[in-house]
Amino acid sequence: MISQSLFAACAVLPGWDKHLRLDAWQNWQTMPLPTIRDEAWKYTNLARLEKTIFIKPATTPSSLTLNDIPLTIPEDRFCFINGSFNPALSAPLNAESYLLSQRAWPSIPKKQQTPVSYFERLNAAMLSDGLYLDIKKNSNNPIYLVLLQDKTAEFSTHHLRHRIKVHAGIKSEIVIVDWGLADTTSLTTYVIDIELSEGAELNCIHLKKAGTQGYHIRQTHAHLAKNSHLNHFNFDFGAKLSRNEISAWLQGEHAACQLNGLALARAQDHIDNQTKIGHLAPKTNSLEQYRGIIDDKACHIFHGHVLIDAHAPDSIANQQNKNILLTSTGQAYAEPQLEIYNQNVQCIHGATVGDIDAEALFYLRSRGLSDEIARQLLIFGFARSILETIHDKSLQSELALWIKTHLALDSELILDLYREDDHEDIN
Amino acid sequence: MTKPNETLENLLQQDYEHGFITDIESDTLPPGLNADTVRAISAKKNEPEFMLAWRLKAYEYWRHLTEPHWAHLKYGPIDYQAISYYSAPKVTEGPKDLSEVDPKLIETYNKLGIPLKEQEWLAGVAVDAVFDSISVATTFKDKLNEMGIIFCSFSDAVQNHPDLIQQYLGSVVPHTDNFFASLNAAVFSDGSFVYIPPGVRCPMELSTYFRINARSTGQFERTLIIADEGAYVSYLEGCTAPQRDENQLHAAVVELIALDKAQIKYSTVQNWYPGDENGVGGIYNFVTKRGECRGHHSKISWTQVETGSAITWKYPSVILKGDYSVGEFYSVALTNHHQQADTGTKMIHIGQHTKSTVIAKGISAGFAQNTYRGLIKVLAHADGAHNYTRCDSLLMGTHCGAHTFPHIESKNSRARIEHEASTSKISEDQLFYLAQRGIDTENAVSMIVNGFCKEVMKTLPMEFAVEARKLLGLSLEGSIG
Repeated sequence: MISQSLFAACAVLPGWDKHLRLDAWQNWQTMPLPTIRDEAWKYTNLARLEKTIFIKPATTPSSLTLNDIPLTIPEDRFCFINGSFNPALSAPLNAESYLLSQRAWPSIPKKQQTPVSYFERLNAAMLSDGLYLDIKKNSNNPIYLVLLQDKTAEFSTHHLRHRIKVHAGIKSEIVIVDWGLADTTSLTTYVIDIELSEGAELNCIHLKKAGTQGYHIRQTHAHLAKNSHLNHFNFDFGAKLSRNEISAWLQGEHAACQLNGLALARAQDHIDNQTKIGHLAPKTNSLEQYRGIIDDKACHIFHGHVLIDAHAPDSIANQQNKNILLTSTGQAYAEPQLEIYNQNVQCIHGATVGDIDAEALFYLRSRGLSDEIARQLLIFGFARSILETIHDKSLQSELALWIKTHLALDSELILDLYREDDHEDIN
Repeated sequence: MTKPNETLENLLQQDYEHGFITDIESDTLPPGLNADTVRAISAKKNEPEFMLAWRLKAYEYWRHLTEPHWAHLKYGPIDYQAISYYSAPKVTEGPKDLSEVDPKLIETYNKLGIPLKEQEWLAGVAVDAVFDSISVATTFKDKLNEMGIIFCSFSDAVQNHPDLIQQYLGSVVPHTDNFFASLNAAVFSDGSFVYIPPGVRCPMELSTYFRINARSTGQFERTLIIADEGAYVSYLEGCTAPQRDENQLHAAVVELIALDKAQIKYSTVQNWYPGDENGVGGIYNFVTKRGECRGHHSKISWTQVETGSAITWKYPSVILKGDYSVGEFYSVALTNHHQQADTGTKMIHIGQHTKSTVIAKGISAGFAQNTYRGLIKVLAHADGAHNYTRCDSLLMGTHCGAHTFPHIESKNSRARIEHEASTSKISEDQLFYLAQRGIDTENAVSMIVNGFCKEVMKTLPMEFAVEARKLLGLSLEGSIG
């Protein structure tokens, strides 16, 4: 997969701890690639990844513009192209930030520096760039972190790590966009650490569309202090292999998190969402809604683990996973799991897998809609209920357009519905 | 609200009522397991060549397996060489009727409240009682014989119906299935065998009481039930065990086969010794139970009430192969003190329009850990498959745990799978409400627990429902109102 010579050729970030890097590389080499015999990887086979030989580290940024992606990226943005920071496209405004390449690893707690999993180790060994965002001021505008990949990324590997710290009582929003402009065979690992101090609030919206041949493995770890609040949205538009591991640790009293996700898998996409929520303090609250729309030969996996510690009485957890399986060549796997060690809790979870509801379809047909349009409306409505959990209205309607294009929904009714800002839930 | 309810705590401190050891001379093999042990067991049972060959194959396979540890269970290492793999009550000849059975055995049954005579004549239940590892009494045989039903001990079936055994043994749970099933295949001593011929509806509930008796004797039963085309049978399995200090291993295998339009209803009440309140002793219960709906429109239904054992590792499953076949799983798992249960089901939808229902209720008290683990798998050709799963957990106490680990795998767009789960506790509000109406705490708790389990209890056959309610009650409180 990755040879010693590629590791040697990989540029070392200035200031980056050489020992840590070397340790991570050595540890990574001794660790076997996870196989389907490992519980956490049983539905995601990495054999093809292992056979793919990557030959290039992060390549030199090419001449891309932000117009190449069908999304308005406002100012206050940081752009990375093929794994490296691109100052020309970036326009940082308010947030106090510095690149890892300037001041590597300034404040990451020791215990988080030691990578544990296979891909975290690879990430630490090969780190190509990253950002440290120290958010001390409230801002009404979201901060965009954009990662673009173009066709020069063929057979290359990129490894990014961001650290986001939101200070006490501060509200902020971050939009992370991973966009593959070409269907290149590449491997991207992404580690994001989020730290919310007391009373902080963060909306983190992650949009991902890697190319159809891309391997994209992302780990997000969030630590929440007392009264802090995290809303995490994960929109995945597919890749050859897209894995999103998200963990949220509710460490302080009254900490709350919302993890929402939408997986739109088609063709041969493979989307693997793994979430873990740890309720470690009393009166913590979590809400999780993940939905998947699976078409063609695609596959969606949802593994949600809610842990309620013995020291977390009066906690509330709600976990829902729904999947629409449109073809019998597609696959849906759902594992909504609860692990509870305290009696004073309220926990529910639910999961469903099925086709479009026949009764809803009949209802729309009886109102004179064609079968095709009725199905499109229902599919869109299914996605929309996740979309509407985002507060940012302009982003919402842009995403609606993305979803419509991505699912090849041609009914004009869909956008009309959206434009009229009709909030009646059509699902 | 977090203050432990003292009355509730007291109720949870009940001793195991069925703890006693009957002193009977046993014919026991020395501890240890090797190919010779397997040969000795086979020879003692005078088995035909094919059985020995199958056992040895299983033993060879088992030798290369390692014990699985993926379950949410904690227990010390098991020394498989310290277990004696065969123990039979010393009976020179097989008893012809109850009068020939050792009176001490009858006494044991009487202590348990299952007098064979009474059951034979009053309750109309045929009992194939397994005492330790060998069948000592089989009743109602004649009546069943008339209808062509075969209900006998496994060893009798091996002697008298080797063709059926050869055809069906290991066809649902092969000797390569898992660590404990392989071990069972190698060393199983006895069990029950049922064959219902085509079109026959078994007129009574068939019942077997298993008891673990001789000290340090692992019990390895194997049950095989075949319902031929259009047949129906309801089978009851109940377990109680004497109190003892060391852990005992129990690795049973149950195979059910339902052909076209056949129905099998399998009910279990399991009340083996769970260990004392400090978690010392108790039975290790590692069971592989699986049914196969081989024919179209067939149905297999599992109902279980699990109140005993220190460790329970048990996933009664149904393979829905025939079109329009139905699988059901109803379960109440109650754990108290230091008991641990990791139980659930697997429903594998292969045929078209197959349907399955899973209702699991877990109650966890004291320091116990109770886990539901389930798999719903729909294969690509199972058009119109439907599953509904509901698992609820009730927590009683601040040190216990309740966990739900469902797995859903669907490869068919025309299949519908629904899963719901909730976790709650007996609230002070509920107790207060009932107290207000003059119901004391003990009765209130039992009412709430009974209500919680009602969906499952009502699926038990009449004869069993009473005992199951009693056992459920015994594990939590003195009596149930």
